Amino acid sequence: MRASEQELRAWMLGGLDGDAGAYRCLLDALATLLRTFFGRRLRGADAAVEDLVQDSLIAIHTRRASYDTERPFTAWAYAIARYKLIDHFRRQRITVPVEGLEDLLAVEGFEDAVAAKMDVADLLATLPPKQAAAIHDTRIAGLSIAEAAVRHGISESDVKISVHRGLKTLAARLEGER
Amino acid sequence: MTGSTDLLIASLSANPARVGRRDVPRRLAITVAVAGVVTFAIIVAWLGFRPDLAGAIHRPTIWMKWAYTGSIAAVALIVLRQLARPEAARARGIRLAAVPLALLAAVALIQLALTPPGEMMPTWLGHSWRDCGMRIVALSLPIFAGLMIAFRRFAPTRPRLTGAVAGLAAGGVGATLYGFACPETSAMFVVTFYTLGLAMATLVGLIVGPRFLRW
Repeated sequence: MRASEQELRAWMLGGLDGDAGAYRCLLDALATLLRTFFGRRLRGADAAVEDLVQDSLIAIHTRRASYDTERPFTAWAYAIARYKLIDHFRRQRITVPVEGLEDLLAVEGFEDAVAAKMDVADLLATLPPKQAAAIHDTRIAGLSIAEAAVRHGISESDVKISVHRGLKTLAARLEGER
Repeated sequence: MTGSTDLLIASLSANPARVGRRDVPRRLAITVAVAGVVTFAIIVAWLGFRPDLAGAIHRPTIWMKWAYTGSIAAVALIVLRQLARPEAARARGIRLAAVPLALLAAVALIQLALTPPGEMMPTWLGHSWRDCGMRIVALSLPIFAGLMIAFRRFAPTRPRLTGAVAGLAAGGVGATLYGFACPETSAMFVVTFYTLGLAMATLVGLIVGPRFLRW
């Protein structure tokens, strides 16, 4: 289970207040996230991945004063990871294919993506849990209707109806906000 | 491998020191205050106050200088606060520093138009045009050094840009304090030679900054 922005941020705030337990949870969760982040970009270089995970954790720790508590935590943490990754490429003198480099450097797009993900999470949190889970699994996580049904132990038509009702509620809410 | 990461996490999270919620602005303010006192002491020991300081404080020109360098320092410090965050890719708002420059340039042009041709060069060059820029750079160095130390706790991902903005901020604070010593009174002088000093301080930050800001 991946930690959400809300969880990570709460742990970070605890850590900033000197709560060792919360801080431990944060670093453990970050280690997992960072391993995925670097692993995807450095396929097959497991030693380098773990080095980067450790480097990033140390940087996150020593430079945690730079986290502005009003802003998204995930964007801050990944910005540090991205900096470490670019630094790694620089030291290795690896030439990155142009499209890959763009991914790395697209800071603003990245922030938007993180923010959008959080918006979606916030919106889903306002729905009944069954509808939220159905939408998340079929529309975000990419499961099929059948897989989602098995996962939650409900019928396929129940999944379809939950998705339909949930999306309708969200659409109505978004229009109301305009 | 993950074993050593677990050990690392255990040691990092063993006793996390408390960090305040607004730590970046707090540290920047303390740095400017402490380094400012040091710079002020250097000015007193090295250059002394301008002889007419008590009278000058009641005339507008010294306030014009302080407004110019002080507002540039303020803009640079606000931008610097953003650059402490790793997500900050640009120096948003740094162009505001051009506003005091434009205002002062306008005053200088008016002054130029009102100055009789024979007095133009003395008004422009004053008594200290050869030293002004270098003095501002020298006085910016303690503040720049303080900022580099403060940034060891921050996470700038644009070392050149951050170095340059830190140089400008340090130059702005240094030049503001230099106002206590500098006897020059013309806007033409300030817009030329103070600006030159600020530009050189920025350049120093641009060149030297990355050396301290890499992590």
